[in-house]
This record gives sequence, structure tokens and C-alpha cells, in this order.
Amino acid sequence: MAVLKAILEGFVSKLVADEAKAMLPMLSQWLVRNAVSRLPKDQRERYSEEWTADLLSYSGEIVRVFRAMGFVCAAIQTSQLSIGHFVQLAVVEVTIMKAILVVRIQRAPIQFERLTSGLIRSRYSLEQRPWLKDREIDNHLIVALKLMRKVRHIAIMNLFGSNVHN
Amino acid sequence: MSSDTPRMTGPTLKVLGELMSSALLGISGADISRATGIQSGTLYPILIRLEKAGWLSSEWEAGDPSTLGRPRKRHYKMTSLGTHAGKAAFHELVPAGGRLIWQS
Repeated sequence: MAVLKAILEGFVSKLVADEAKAMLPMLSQWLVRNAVSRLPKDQRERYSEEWTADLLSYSGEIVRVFRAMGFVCAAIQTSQLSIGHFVQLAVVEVTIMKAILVVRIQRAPIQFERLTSGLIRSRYSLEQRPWLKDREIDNHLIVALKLMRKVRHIAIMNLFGSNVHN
Repeated sequence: MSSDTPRMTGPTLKVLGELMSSALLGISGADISRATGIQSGTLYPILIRLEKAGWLSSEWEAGDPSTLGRPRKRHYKMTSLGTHAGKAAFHELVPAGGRLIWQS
């Protein structure tokens, strides 16, 4: 029994490790995109290429992820976003991502009412339609993603007024 | 060029030292990181500030991404303004007689 358990544990941990390894390059790319999106429009193309080249000059996916995390910090500093602002934006984004996950996993309606506190004054919510079919769920998801971008833009506008490059 | 003088922090001095020692060739951000041990989150804001102040210039490496098979690196070089200002900053901080990193 103990042998079987050890084999199973080894198998599962290998699966998890393989999965994580496969996701690391995507995570690095996502971090670069995220960092670049925080920069003024006229600088995005340059830093997208420069930072991607920078990452590729390092071997090892974990090193690349850490380096890409640094790009996000660099972009935040460059766009004069304070850590407090970054945390606020992160809270907004995490809330929206959670809402999207709810749609994907539980097929439940999205409610954005938590976004009304403090930072975002506008109220967002999507209509509750429990009879949504798969295709409609996908459409719902697209709407949610568009909304995410819109909410993020409004959050940045609230923080920086007319100095925003987004 | 801007009238803003970059703040002379420890990492900024390290970056300037590295750039001065590779003055003619130009050096990429990744290579500066490797040489100085400064992480990307600290390095790039410094490079951006120095470039904005006119102390650095940067240009893409020669070649096309499709022929290189990868994105192009951006190479940073000191400008003459940056070299003078950087040397002045080092002279203020390095004791007299100290061997400066770019004098080899």
C-alpha cells in the first residue's frame, strides 16, 4: 500500500511539475505584455521587443519569470504608479478575474458590484441569466474581458487624470 | 535632453561604471544586469531616467529579427554629456587616487 502511495505521489508530482514547467513561458510572456501595457503607447513597441530579447538571453524559465516580474516593477516605476496604486489596480483586476473564473467554472452570473467601492465610482454588473448555453457563456466571457479592460482604464484615469497613456 | 539630473544612487553608479567601461561598443540591459548584478526592476528605470536626461543613447542591434531568429537587443551607450557628468559624479564620490572603473 505504501509503495503504491509513493508511486502515485511521484506520478502526480511529476504531472504537476510538467504542467508548471509548461506554463512558465506563458507566464513570462504574460508578464512582459502586462509590463508593456503599463507604459505610454509610444514606448510599448520598443520595450516589448527589448524586454523579450532580454528574457531570451537568459536560459532557465524560472529566471525568466523573475526577470519578467522585474519588468512589471520597472513599468510601474516608469509610469509613476505608486505601490499603493498598483495594489488598488491589482485588487480590481483580481476581482474581475475571479468573476471570470466563476463564469468559466461554475457557469454562474458575473457580478461586478464589488468594484463600486472607493476607486471606481461606476457600477458594473452583468445580467443574471441562468439559462445561458455554452456559446452564450463564451459571449458572456468576451463581454467580461472587455469590461475588465474598461474598468482598468477607468481606474488608471481616476488615478492619473489626463496624464494617462493607455 | 532634459535638465533633470539623475539621482546618484549606488545602482545608478554601478550602471554608469559598466556603461563607461563599454563606452564604444554599447551594451544591452541584460548584459548590464549580468555584469552589475542589478535586477531588471531596478535597472530599467535607471536606464530610462539616464536616457531621458540625455546621458545615454540607445539603438537596436544590427540585423533584422527575421534573420536573427529572435527579437533585437537594444544597446545602450554613454553620450558625451553622460560621460562628463558621470565622471564628475564619480570624482565626487571616489576618494582622490582611487582607480576609476573606466580607466583601464
